[in-house]
Amino acid sequence: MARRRTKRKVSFDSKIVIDVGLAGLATRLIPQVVNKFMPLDPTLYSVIGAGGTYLAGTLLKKEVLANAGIALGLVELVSPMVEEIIGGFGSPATLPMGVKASPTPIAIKGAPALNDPMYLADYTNSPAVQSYNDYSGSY
Amino acid sequence: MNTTELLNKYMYPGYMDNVVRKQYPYYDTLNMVTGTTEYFFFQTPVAPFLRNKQLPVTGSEVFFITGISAYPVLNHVTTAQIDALNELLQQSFLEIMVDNRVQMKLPGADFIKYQYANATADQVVLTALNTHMGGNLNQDGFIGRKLPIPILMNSQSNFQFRLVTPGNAVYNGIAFKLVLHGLQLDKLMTFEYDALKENKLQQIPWTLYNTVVIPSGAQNTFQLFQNRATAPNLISGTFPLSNIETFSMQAIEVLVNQPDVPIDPATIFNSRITNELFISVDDRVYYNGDLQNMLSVVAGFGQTLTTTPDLDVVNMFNQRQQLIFKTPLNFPANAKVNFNLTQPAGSLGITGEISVILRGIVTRRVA
Repeated sequence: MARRRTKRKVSFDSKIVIDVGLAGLATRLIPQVVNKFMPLDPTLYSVIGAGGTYLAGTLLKKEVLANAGIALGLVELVSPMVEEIIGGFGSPATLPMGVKASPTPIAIKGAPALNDPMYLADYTNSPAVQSYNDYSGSY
Repeated sequence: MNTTELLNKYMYPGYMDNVVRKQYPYYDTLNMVTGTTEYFFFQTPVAPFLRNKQLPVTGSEVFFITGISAYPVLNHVTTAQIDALNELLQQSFLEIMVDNRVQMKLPGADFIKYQYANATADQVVLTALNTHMGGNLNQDGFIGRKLPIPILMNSQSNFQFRLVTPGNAVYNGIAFKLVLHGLQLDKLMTFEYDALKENKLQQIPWTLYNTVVIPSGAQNTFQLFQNRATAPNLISGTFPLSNIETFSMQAIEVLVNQPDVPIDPATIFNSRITNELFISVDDRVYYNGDLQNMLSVVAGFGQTLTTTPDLDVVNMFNQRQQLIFKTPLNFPANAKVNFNLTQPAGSLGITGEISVILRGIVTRRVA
């Protein structure tokens, strides 16, 4: 008689979910915090993230947190290499974790100070006439 | 977002940011050749001492031009050389095109700096040169053209920097070095500064200039910026403006040169200072005055000493000034503009040229 196959249910372990979630956050946030005090090379972000999370896990005696930190750090480190090898999925190569991709250029409304390069309204909707204070430094 | 936030976000490198801002010059040197009238800058590969940039800028760079200067490496010591310099200042222009659209056409007088020297003689045989620098002098000491609005050189746009000059033999083999002063943004990855968005108008720095010949010393009114048939190196625009652009004039300079047969430059200056400049827009008078604070003269005059050994000395005169308007003079689109310069009878500096140079910004519709 054939043995009845029992379907094992995947149990939901909220403790692990929370710890892994915390590890994900920590791997991202720890490099930022460290960078505030000690500027880091961007390539070190994932290493610092993983190391910091492992340390936090050890100190808090949370095994899952520590191990997940290392796993996530490893993913951040390895995934760009893997993507490079397999060519990604038609998407451009991403920067190392921690470096934000190019922000969308902002639309500069109006022309508050046209001689300021960052307020440059090369194209503008409000062609304000420059006043003497705006242009006197240009002659 | 305020300026500080904007600067923090885009200008300084740090964690979460990936852009670097730097004050950076682009320069290129071309040798001028007799009879060659057009020169294109930033076209050839980088070479030490000659150029540091080949355009276009790459995908990770954006460059804002905030000033332009150029220098022909020649000390102008004779009246023939000053004559050639006058051609460079009044009958030459630099045209800047970005994405096949003219961003600026500026006369040599705007951006070319030059060296000149008085030749003075001692009583015996010694001739000494007393060298000075000249050019479009700004209030902060910068010689060249500062731009009230930067010209944006976006990633991977196409550019053309074309210098058109009469090709005078005086400059044969002379190095002409053009420098674009500005700010460069570098990013770690390809990006483009979106200058257009949904906007409909563009503002650019502009120099409106017109060079006219002085035919005689008789009373005469020069109607400036009127004749579209003028040779392109003598004019950069005409009135009325088209219906898609307006011009805000911020500064004005009237540059007079050394006549074909040189006379004492002091006489030229004192004669020209009496000329009347009259500007009206739609029949309303906007300016009517003499040239005391806007007249520039660059001229030389050779003199022969009467004492033995009869040495030739050259007296150079270089006065460059522009009048900065406290209130800009705005020329609307399609307006009826009279821009007249009137010389009285008995004016001197005959067969020379007058250039009237208006500096400001143009606002134009995206067409």
